[in-house]
Amino acid sequence: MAETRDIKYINRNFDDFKSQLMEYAKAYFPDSYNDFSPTSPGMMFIEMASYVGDVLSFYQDNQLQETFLQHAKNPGNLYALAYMMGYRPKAVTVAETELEVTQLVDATGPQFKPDFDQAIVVS
Amino acid sequence: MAFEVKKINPLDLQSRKAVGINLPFSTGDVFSSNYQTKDAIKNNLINFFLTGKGERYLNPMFGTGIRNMLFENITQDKLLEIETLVRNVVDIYFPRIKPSKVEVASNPDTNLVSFYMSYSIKDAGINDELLINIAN
Repeated sequence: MAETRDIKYINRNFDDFKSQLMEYAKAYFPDSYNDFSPTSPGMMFIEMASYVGDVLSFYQDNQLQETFLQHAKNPGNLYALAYMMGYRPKAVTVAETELEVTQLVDATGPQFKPDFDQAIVVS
Repeated sequence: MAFEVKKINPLDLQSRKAVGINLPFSTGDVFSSNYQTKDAIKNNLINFFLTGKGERYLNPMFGTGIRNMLFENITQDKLLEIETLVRNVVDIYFPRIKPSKVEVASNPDTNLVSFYMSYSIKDAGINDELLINIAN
């Protein structure tokens, strides 16, 4: 029958993981490992495992946060959540048209050229 | 007449209790345990000296960065600098260790740099030495 071991599931940052792994090693492997000084190679592995746990916990929290409309930060997720709840945005865009403007001006000079002094300036 | 009392770690008296793990890891069992604090300290020293500053997550001051210093020109000043560094960091991270001799030798023909340290463990009356060869 499998042995029931005391594992804590609520400590989820680097220091918590590290201290829990040390306690676990002390409790269940007292004959296999006893050097818990920060310089020992075994502590290097414990710290590496804690690092992985810390990073995974961060992403787990981050993913959960993105599933709530109130807390999501990623615009893509916010739109997806809003669409899921029935948000249907009206697509409003700027109107476009082609416009041709003409103006009648007097002829001037011996060549009867248009008098552009009378032309309206459109800015 | 005064006599020196030697301190013996209780783990050294229990032959079946492992203390730490040996370096390097390339043995058949991956991890081979050591059963004496003297061996554990030696492996801790190797691990510490071969760790560069900033390598450890959330512990940026851990390590010596000695590997980078060894491949600079080994002058008398550099030797003194390395020795001072070693004595300082050993004081901080290994308070029970007293380095007695620190030597650095380089062999440019074989691209090899050797780092040697002899030390004693305070109150335990144990003397040991450490030799790390780093090949480029």
